[in-house]
Amino acid sequence: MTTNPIPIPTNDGGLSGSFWVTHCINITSTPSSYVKNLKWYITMTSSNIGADWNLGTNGDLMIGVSSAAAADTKTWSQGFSSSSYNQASGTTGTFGYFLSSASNGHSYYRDIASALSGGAASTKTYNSLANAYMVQSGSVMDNPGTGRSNFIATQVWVASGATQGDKPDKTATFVYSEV
Amino acid sequence: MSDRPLVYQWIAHYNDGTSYPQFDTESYEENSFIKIDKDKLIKFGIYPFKKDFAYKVSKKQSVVSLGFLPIYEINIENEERLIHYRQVFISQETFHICQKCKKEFKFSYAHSFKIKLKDSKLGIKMDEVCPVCPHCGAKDYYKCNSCGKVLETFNESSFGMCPDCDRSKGYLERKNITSGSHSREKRWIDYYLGKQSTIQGRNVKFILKIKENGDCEVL
Repeated sequence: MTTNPIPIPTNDGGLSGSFWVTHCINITSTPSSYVKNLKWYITMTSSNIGADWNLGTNGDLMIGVSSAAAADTKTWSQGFSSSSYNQASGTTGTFGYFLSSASNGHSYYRDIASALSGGAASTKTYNSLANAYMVQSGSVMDNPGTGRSNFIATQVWVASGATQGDKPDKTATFVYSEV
Repeated sequence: MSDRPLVYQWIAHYNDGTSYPQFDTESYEENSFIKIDKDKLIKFGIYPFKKDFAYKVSKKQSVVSLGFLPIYEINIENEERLIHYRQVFISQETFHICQKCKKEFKFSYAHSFKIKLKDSKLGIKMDEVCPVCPHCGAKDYYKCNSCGKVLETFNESSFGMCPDCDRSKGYLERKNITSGSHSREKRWIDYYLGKQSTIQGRNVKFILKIKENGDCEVL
């Protein structure tokens, strides 16, 4: 972000995306029994990260979603496996392709016709453990086993009217159950 | 699996007087939770580690730590079913460090100032938000690399040149006192202990959430 900041659009209603970022947890030692229900959430102080970071109207931190209903994104798996990994792309220093773009978006999300908001939703409702985004429901890893969990893809949308400079600090958290 | 050291270990107590611990007392290997004999289970508890045992378990594979913590036990009666799991948190958090007072702080707009900028290329005015240290009030400033004059904002100058110096020299240099964020990872574990049973066709649960410091909350 320091090397290639996202230019703030100058035209009213303009919107630029960052390159999307892919995250997962890497399980390097086998659980004694199992790891399950991997979730993700991020702290925010106002209605959404876009407001917290002054990203302009419609500016926000977005995340790939595969369910059609918002409530289902907290119950059913929204992450994708390594076979669906897509390298982020766009024009370096100018914009990244939108996750939900029909032509250049993330293939896992854009190809699910029923996905909420075309496959990319605001992170605004995933603001606590109780409201966490479900990365991978059910079993993530059983004994014996090691490897990566499902992945999530996040992307910042910067809109006209955004302010530049440092942004308020945030904490993003993965949480899972194990025994 | 978690790299976060365990502060509690579980022990299942059976109706024949034997027990089945999380860590074998001879080999110090971790036993499987799902192999607990539910038919014989009459009590289940989580216990802090004793010093010698913690050392031997840590030498094997699982890292554990010591603490003066309370014990939590529940009795399992009749048709009651055990609930136990750990919830592991892995957080990435950003923070700022003031280069003046060396204290860490969380940046919010409540402690910030705006620099008015004019982008000559785009021909528009923009704001840049900069953090102010909530501990000592320090913030970024600009300093002339020739005469040492200090300016609070870039706007007081003309095209980044010192107003007191010859225009061929006296460039303003930004001193990053509070800007620039850092990130780090934090991990912690909550321990859940409880039981459930079916009463008149309805599943009834009792669950305790126990934090790493031993604090307990009934859910």
